[in-house]
Amino acid sequence: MKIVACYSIKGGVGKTATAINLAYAAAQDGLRTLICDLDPQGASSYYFRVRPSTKLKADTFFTRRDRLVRNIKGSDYPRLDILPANLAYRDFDQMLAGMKKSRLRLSQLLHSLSDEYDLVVLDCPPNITILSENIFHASDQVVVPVIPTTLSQRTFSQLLGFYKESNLKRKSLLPFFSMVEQRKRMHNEVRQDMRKAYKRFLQSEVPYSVDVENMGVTREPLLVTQPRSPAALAFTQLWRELKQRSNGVSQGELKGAKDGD
Amino acid sequence: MDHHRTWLADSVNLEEEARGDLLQPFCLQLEQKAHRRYQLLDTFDWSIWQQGEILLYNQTQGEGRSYELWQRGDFFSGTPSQVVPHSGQKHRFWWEFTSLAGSGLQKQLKRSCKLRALLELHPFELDQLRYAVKNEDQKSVAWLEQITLHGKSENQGVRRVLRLVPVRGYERELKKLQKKIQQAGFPLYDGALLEEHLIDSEKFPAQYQSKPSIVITEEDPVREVVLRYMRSLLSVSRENEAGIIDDLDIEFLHDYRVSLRRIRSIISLVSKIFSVEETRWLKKEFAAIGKKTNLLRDLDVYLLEQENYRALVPPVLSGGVDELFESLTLDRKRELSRVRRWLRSAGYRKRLEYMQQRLTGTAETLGTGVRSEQPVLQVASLEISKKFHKIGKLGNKIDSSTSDEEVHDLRLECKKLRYLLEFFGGLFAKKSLNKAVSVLKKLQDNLGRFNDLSVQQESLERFLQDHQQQQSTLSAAVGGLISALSREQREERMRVTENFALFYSPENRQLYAQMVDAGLVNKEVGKSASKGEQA
Ligand SMILES: Nc1ncnc2c1ncn2[C@@H]1O[C@H](COP(=O)(O)OP(=O)(O)OP(=O)(O)O)[C@@H](O)[C@H]1O
Ligand SMILES: [Mg+2]
Repeated sequence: MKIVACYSIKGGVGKTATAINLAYAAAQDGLRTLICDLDPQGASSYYFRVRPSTKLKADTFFTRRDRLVRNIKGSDYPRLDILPANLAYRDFDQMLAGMKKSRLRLSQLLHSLSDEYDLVVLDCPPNITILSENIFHASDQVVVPVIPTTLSQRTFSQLLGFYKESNLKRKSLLPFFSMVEQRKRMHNEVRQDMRKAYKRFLQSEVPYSVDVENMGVTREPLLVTQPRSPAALAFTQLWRELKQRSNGVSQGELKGAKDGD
Repeated sequence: MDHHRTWLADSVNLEEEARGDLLQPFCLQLEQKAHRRYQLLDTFDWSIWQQGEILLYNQTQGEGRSYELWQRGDFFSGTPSQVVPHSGQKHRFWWEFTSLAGSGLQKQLKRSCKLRALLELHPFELDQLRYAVKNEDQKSVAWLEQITLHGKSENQGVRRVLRLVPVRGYERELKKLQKKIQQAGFPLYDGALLEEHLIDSEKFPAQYQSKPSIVITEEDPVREVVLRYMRSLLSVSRENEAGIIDDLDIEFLHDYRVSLRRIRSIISLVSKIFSVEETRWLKKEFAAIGKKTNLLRDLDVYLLEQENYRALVPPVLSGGVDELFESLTLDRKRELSRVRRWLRSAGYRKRLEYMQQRLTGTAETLGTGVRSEQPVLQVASLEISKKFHKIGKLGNKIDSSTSDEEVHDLRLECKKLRYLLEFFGGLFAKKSLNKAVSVLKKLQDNLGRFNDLSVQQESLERFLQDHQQQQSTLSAAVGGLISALSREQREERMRVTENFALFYSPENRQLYAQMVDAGLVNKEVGKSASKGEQA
């Protein structure tokens, strides 16, 4: 079982949009996939039309596998299940802080589902918290949407810095450009800069598109409603690239062998 | 199928009826509409079906043709266990499934079909409507499927069910839906859709049985039991005629002949139940009918051996083996048309109908003998006991100096014992019977191979004589074959003593003695088997 997180310190960068389309693409690809909505806001639950669950308590989330499993719901698509959001998630940090091995809890929990799923996609809330540290430890790949602006450039360095300090594997950190607008000069400059500075940047770029915004209305993955739209093709491409990377075929890695990180 | 989530819906069609309020407040949204055309493939004796599987040829337009193997229980509710894309001429035998994708299927079909051809037993069509059952958020909480099976025409053998397929995490909704469907008056369904459709269409799975099983009780008069057997056997023979004429596979002829042979042996094994003249007439008639197909069967058997023969001779002579088989293939073709003509002839038909009529067996038609009215258990026990004892005597005489003739005699007697156990097996305890049969079978297999090898040698020698003027590769190949076969035959011969010892062991004698004990009037006969050992 592989775990892929969609994460960013910054809010509103396209984590949820990416998570649901990646999860859908993987399920279509034949993987038994679970998307976990870890954000108490419940955006990905909303897209899949699943009401947030009220039963699960924060303290049982990490301790009772059976309770968790009971909250999993089938999506409308084959092989794709969802663990909906829960308001109690707001208490995650407080909860985790009081537990032993508080940074490895999520990893243990998710791996207990490994005979049911081939892939778990995590839709994460922003900020760096104990939950996000759990996410870093659990995930094989942490996919980071980056809007090509100077501000995002700064938050991404922050994240890199955090990884360095905490001795986390920076190899699993995989940024890609999200909401790209070709017309904007700043977007183009930042993209060039960042690609030069960080060799592991994914090749796929998701363009800014109203089609993505419209997902809020259709409440379905873009890959279902408009599979041939440019943004949908970009998500598909992103999924392929992640698959390749996890198989160890990575151009970035080959080129960046002496990458000073 | 999931029994508590499948309902019979013969008279409803979700496509037409007001399905709007069927599941209120949930609503239905059509997600998929599929129409499939299938051909059911199986052997004449439904051997795939009997293995618990279904082989279908999917010939749906626009879907790319394919073979599908299903577990019977999964049909429609699951997915096929094998799918093998296929275009062009349909395969008739398991060994024709040579594509890479087909190797798994080939293995499974080899096990069930053996020498049998795949026949197109029944074409049918499947309509599937799949609805999403949506809640107020337009989220699917279950799937509702309507599955309709029918024959070639829309209204032939129609079977329709509704099936609820759960979505994980919506158990509460599922219960509600089940209740609603229940309340709408649909009866729960736990049948086998395809099987029922087949029966509606007058196709009866696995109806043909090469060994008829008839129910007998100990007290039944033996004459009546034997007649019942003969009638069933004769109709088995007749069921095979069409397959022989169409040359579908060689098992039709085999079953045809085996049934006739069973009839002949039951007549001679159970004597004195018809009048003397009638018994003689029956024997003569059935022998004459059986003989007509001897040559064709022999040729079938040789052609089967093709691969083995090839392995027996050195590669330089393989050209000769090819010639041999070309010639045999021609012979078979000629012989087949002769047999066909005969089976189609009015003379044959009339003769067989007459036999069938005689076998209805009122006292007037076949007369009676002194044992006609004896209880079947009594006669069976006596005959089995006698035969067992006789084999013991014959076998005890066999050592390395005994002639092949005597070994053949032993084989024939064993075969007779086997028939007796087959005919009357139903009278004895299953466990003892199975044990008796398995020991006997081991000896018979050994003797059978021994016999096959000598028959093959003889016929090759005959072939050599008939083709004396032909080139030397052919004769060299045939000569090589004969010596290889004779070597194998000697090896088989050496195993006979050992297998006989098992058959006539004190343990096996005890088994037979117990088996026949209840039915023997004169207990001395049963014991004579054990005396034989001291002699
Ligand atoms: N490529 C895109 N083009 C246009 N709009 C986008 C794109 N990706 C996301 N959006 C829109 O931007 C908003 C934020 O996106 P999304 O919810 O995916 O981000 P997020 O990182 O998950 O946000 P949050 O931090 O609040 O969870 C949404 O309204 C979404 O429709
Ligand atoms: Mg989000």
